[in-house]
Amino acid sequence: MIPLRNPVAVRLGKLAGSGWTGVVYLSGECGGVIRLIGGDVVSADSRGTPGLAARLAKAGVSAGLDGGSSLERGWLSREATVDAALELLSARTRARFRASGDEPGPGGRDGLPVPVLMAEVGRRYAVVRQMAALVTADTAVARNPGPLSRAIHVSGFQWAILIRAGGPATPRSLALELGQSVFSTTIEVFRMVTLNLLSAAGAPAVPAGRAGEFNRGRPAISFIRALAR
Amino acid sequence: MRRIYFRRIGSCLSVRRDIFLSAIPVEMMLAPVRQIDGFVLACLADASSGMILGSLQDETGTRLPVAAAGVVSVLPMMTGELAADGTVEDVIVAVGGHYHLIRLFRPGPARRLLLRVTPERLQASLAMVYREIGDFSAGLCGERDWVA
Repeated sequence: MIPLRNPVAVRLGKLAGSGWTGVVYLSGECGGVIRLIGGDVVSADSRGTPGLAARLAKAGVSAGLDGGSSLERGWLSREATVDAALELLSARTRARFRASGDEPGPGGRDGLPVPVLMAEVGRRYAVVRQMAALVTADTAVARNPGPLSRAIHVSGFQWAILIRAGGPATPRSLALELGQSVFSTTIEVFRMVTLNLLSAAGAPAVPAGRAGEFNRGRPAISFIRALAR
Repeated sequence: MRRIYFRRIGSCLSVRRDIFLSAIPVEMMLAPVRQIDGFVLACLADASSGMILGSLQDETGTRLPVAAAGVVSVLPMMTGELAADGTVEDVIVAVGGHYHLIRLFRPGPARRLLLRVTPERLQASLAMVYREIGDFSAGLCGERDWVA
């Protein structure tokens, strides 16, 4: 299902158009809540993604709302909202809206207009679909045994994933452990699978020096293609 | 005619995380980049997710999401085997009437940002643009990445 056409997205659009303030409760395995103030989404939480508090704690940023104007905090808040919204809108969930006062949620009062949120969720959904043939958020992956035949540069984030992927782990479990976005973690895992640093659990590791041959014909991420909807 | 240049850094740049932890909006933070001669566009994107964090634009010809997506698509070229002996710091692409300078920097150990600046080729001095962007990102650079 394309998230932008699902009933929750349609309902969110209507609530935003009317400038509602309140909370949308979503049921289901990856259920959660989306909080609105004046029609803008101020925060979203899903059971399948790390919450803002966990992200702030891992990043060493103060969790108090008085520190909410910092750029770092703003980015983490936006990432937590979009990450959770992607999970909520990708799943088959039922929505129930309850109007309330305009108390700010954990993300503060700075909201995302629903069309902006939907555009970002749609872009991410398209990227997720590109990766799905190789890795999803719930694909078990493990570090490839044996030394590499060549030196490879990895980022700090990729290194954090690598040292935790000694046994089977999913991008979602790694993201929850690291307090990082599930979407970003899945992309990094995908990149490391193509670098032959990780393999989907059960898949045979590629012999050293044959990574190029291994990657021929495999899916690749195109962020530009993700916009062509 | 397209040309791509790569440069590797030899040492980590200075750390001024106070800028990142301040209350400055991203657009205001990018303002110094706008002073570049021939400035057309600048955008800051998260290197992992591709999400646009902020942007400045003097022309409406380029779609910002496309600009950001183009930046993130370059990232795999800047990591992996090419960067095995260091860190690829930036990529310069010369296309038609524009330069596109893409710089990777790290305000924190688990966060990588990509800055894209596009100036007019005829108006901009590449050396000056390069220096301006270097000065800008030097203030935002964090820890160096690991090498496996």
